[in-house]
Amino acid sequence: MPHSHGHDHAHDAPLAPAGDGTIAISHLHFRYPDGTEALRGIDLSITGGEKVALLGPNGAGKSTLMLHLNGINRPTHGTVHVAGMQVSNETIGRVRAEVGLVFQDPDDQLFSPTVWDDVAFGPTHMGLTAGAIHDRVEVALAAVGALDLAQRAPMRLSIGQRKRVALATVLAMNPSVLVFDEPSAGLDPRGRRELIELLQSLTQTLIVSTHDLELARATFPRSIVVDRGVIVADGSTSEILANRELLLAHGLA
Amino acid sequence: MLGALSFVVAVALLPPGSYVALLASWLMLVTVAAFIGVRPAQLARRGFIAFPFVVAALPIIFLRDDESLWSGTIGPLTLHVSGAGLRIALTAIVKAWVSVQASVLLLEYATPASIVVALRRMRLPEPIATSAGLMIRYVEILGDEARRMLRARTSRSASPIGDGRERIGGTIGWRARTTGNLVGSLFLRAYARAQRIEDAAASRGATGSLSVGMLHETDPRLPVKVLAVTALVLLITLCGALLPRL
Repeated sequence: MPHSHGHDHAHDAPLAPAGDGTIAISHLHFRYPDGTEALRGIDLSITGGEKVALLGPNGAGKSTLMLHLNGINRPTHGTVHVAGMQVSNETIGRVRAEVGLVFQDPDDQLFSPTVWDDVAFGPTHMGLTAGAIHDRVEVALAAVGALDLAQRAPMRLSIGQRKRVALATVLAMNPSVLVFDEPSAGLDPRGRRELIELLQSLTQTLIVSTHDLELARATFPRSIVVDRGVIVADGSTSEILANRELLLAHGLA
Repeated sequence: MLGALSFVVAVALLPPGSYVALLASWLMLVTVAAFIGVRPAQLARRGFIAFPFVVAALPIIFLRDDESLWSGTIGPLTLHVSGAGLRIALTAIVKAWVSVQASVLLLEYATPASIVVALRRMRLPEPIATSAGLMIRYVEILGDEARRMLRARTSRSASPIGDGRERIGGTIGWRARTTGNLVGSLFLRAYARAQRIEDAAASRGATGSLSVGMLHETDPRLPVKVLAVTALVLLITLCGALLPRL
C-alpha cells in the first residue's frame, strides 16, 4: 500500500462530485456495425442527484444506452450531454471523469493484483498526486465497506465483495453520475440488502439498469422502461410497477 | 485442412525475394475468399495478426554481412544493413502475412467439428485434436472477455481539466504494469474456466476425447479435392521458380 505523502488539500472533499450530474439525451439513434438498430429515438432528461431505474427486457437497448453516457458508444444520430458537456472526442476525457460506469460482471473491472491497485487506477490515470490518490482510494473503499480488503487479490473475493470493490473503483474518480448494469445480479439476500443501503446512501445521480423490480421499488423514485430501442414509459416507479399490463407487454412480468 | 496446410507449406518453401510469386499466391487466396464471402481488405487486415513476427525477423537484416547496403554507428553499436538479410526478412514477413490469411480462411470456411475430424483423419494424437477443437471454441469467448476488460479500463481512463494534466495517463511504466496485470488476469481466468469446463465435462461422462457426434461420411469428391490441392501446390512452386525475384 503506498504511504500517504501528506494531504493534498485540492482534493480534500470525500467523494464530492465535480460536475452537476445532469444527463440530456436528444433524438438518440444507434446502429451497430452489423446493421442492428439498437436505439430508435431516445429523448431523456435527468437532473442532478436524481435516482432512476432503467427497466426493460433483455435486448431492449438498456446497456447500449448506458454505454453512450461515457462515450463508449457514439450516436448514429442525436446528441448526449453529460454534466452540461456534449459527449464528443474533445470532451471524452472529462466526460469519463464525470460518469462512473459499473459493469454487470465485476471481473470485467478488476484487473490489478490487489484491490488497492484496482481502485487507484482511475485517480492515477487522472494525474492526481500520490497523496490525493491515497486519500481517494481510502475514502472510496471506506464508503463501500471494503477498506479491510485493500491488500486482497480481487480474484479471491466473493461476488458481493467484488461488486463493492468494482463500485469503489469508480467512486474514487469522484463522478457526478453513477451508472450500474444489473448491480444485484448474483447477490445473496444479505448482499442485496447491503447493496440497497449503499445505493440509498449515494448522493450522485444514479442510473441503474435492472430486472430486480424490488430493488427499483426500494431505491428509485423514477423508472424508465425501454423496449426495442425506444422509451415506452417514464414516470413514478410505484405507478409503473402497479401497471401490470405495461409490465406484461414489455417483458417485466 | 489439407489445402490450407499445403498452401502454407508451398508458400514457406518459396525462395527469398519471390515477391511476385507471393503476390500471385495471395491473389489465389483472395479468389478463394471471394467464393466464401470474405472481402480482400477484411482478409488482409486479419493477416496482420502476424505483425509481431516482424520483431523476430528484423534482426536478420543486421546479422548477415553480405550485400552491405549501409554501415554506421548508432550509440555504442556498429550496424550493417545487409541486402540479403533485408530480402530474407521481408520475404519471411510477407510469407507469414499470407499464411495467416490462409489459416483465417480455413477458420471461416470450416466448422470446429470438421477441423477436429480432419485432424483425427490426419492421424494426429487425440489430445492435440481435442485441444485444437476446444481452442477454437473458447478463443472467441476469451476474446470477448478481453474486449469487456478493455472497455471497463477505457471507462476509467479519464482526463479532467486542472492541476496535474502533465501526469494524465500515468507513466509508461505504470501503463505497462497495468497492461501486464490485465493480461495476467485474463490468463488466470482462462485457467480457472478450463478447470470448470473439465469439471462440467467430467460430470457428463467425458473421457478426454471431444465428441463430434456421428463421424462424417467419406467425401465422394475427395479425389478431386486432392488433385486440386496438388495442382495449387505445383502452381505456387512454379510461380516461385519462374516468376522474377527481386
